[in-house]
Amino acid sequence: MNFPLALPFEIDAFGRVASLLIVSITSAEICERWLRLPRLIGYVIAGLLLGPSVLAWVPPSITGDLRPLLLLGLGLLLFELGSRVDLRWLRHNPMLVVSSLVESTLTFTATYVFLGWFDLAIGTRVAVAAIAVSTSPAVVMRIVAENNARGQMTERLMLMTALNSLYAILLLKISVGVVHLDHNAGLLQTIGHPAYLAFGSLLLGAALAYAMHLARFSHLKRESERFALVIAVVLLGTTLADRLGLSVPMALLCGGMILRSLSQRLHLFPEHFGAAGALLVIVLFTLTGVALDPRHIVAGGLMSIGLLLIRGLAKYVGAYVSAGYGGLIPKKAAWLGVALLPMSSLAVLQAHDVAGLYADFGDDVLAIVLGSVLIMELLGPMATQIALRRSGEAMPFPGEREI
Amino acid sequence: MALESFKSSRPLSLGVELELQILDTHDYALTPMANDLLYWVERHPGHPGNIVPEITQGMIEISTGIHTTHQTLSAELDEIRDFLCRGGRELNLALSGGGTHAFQHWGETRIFDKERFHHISDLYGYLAKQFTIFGQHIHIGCPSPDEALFLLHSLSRYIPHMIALSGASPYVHGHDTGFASARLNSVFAFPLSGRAPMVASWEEFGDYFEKMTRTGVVKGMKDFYWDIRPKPEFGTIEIRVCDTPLTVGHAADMAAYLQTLCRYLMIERPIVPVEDDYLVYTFNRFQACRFGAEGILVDPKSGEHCSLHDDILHTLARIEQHAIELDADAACARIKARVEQGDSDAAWCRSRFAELGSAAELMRAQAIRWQEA
Repeated sequence: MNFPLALPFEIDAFGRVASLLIVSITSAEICERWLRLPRLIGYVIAGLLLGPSVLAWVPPSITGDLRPLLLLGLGLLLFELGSRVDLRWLRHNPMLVVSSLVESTLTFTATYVFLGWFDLAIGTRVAVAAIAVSTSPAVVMRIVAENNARGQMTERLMLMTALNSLYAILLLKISVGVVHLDHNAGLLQTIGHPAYLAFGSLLLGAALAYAMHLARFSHLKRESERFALVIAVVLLGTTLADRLGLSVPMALLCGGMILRSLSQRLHLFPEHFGAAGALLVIVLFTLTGVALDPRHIVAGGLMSIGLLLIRGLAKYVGAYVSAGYGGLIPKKAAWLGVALLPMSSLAVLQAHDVAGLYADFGDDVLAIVLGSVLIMELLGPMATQIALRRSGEAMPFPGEREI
Repeated sequence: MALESFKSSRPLSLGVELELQILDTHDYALTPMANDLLYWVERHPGHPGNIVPEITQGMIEISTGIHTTHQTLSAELDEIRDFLCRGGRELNLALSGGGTHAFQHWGETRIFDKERFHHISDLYGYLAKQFTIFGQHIHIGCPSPDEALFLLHSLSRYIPHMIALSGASPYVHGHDTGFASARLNSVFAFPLSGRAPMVASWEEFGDYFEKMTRTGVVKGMKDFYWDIRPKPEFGTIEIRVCDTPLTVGHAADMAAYLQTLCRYLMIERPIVPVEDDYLVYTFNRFQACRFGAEGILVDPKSGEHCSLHDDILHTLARIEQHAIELDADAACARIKARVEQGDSDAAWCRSRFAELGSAAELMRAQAIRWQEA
């Protein structure tokens, strides 16, 4: 007799994804309820524990299998962040640009100088310093949403995150240009590549925004369908940017920003993406955890930790001084630099980009960045959450006296 | 605590307070940025008007100086509005008029960090948060306390006018309440809301105040949430039933109409206030809240019913000469035109909502209107 149930059965890919999700949600609940930590730390920890480097419950291939979902989740958050940045605000308050430039320049310079103590190629130093400039858009967007934060510091946090991410992408490409020089490529290629990337991504972003803007006239009444449309645009942007050799994050950030300037109408952007969006967020952060490897800390060693300290100090001082001077309440200015600390998914993608292009120099970059990212993946969300709570901009917990 | 003495002030002088909504330019929800805006204001010394916090973080209150005509009042309101809107642009927030926020849920508001506000919040619970509503208070100067009490009670008959003409809060929690002023429903929930006691002299009023303080229920005049209350330290009576209009221009026109009414009452003395005036007070007030100028007004003495619309037009005709004396005739003409055309801020909100299709878009339209008109 052929019994349909074969015991013991193999747990297939579905089973592994399912268990990964369940552990993620459980761990997020524990973080939120008992530890009062951001939920996304729970996702990351679950991914790290079940991932190949610790319990090896899920195989490394899962990152590849679920990569489209990861990119989609990240893309949505980038696009949303872009759409929260109103370029007219910069025109009315030019100090914001100054503040953002001060913070980013200080971070770049400080980390670049710090890396000079080690035996590294210039290209590596520029690349790592560039990656250090960016605050994680995904973490910032999620922590702001989780805490239902509103206020002037939150506004500036999102603005500065969008801007420093753009600077970081550009700087990184310029650093690639520097490597081109190292590798004796022509001047045209050195300047041409970053320029192509910047203008190409900007144009692509504009095209996406314009497509969304036109779609506004179709007056989609159902929020779920509007969400589907946003997903379509993000997917389109991701694949086109990829094919054209442009920067996906840059195209999506610019797309969101241009969409916001094209239309002040509120119709199109569904709030926090509902249930489907929540799933993408879980996948994004869980997979980030899966990709982490505690050995990177050993590999990156003191350099990673030193890098984080210098970066943190630079961001703190840069944001505090410039935002304080730029009209932010001093108490909030003091917390802004802390809120800007997260560093993650975007940094990992960028490090991998560089590693893909230049194996020798990319590996150095990876080693330093991944170690820092592992630490910041856990500390960054906490820093942002504490900053939002202490500045009084997070929604208080039930029963908590409001600040 | 004894009642303080009533400071004499120039008769018919005017002052206005407006509570404004602070909106997030991303989704047009109320945003707790009052402290950010106040910090910005602090950094601009010599600014026009007086700008102070209100009970929740999504509100801010502006007030003018003392004026004798509504023209100068209007000019000052324009200045304050322009100044605050500049701050709004620098801080990426929007300001708006209107008596309620169209879709904000009370549970999402946050109490402004100040001892008095925490005290109110602890005492009244959700009522305090639900008090995130936006009104216009108009002060009228009175030469003596007895004159103030006379005016206070004589004006009770005209309270429905003020409500109907200013009603700008049809939406609450995203739904059409059917009211022209749903805001006042939140005020009525307070135990000490309503009307002042029927007394004609400051001495009697002092007795009442003393009895009330002895019960421990009130500590000062601020604890009374009456529709009209005397403000002894200013030497004024304060009319508190109006919604914050959608434009500062209409706020100034409302003040002009009230000033004209007061001049008529003070000089012609057509009314001797008696307790029976209040027989139908809450009914009339309800009609004005619910239906605006389409509501009915009941005369407590004759029992006659007429439409508020007609009564306002009739009153405007009767007080025309006083309007001319006060140089308020242009303002009264604008009010007349609105009533005749069936225009009101509440009607504007409803038509914009129908056209734009969402409460958030309505709030955006309200913010644009506030800034531009």
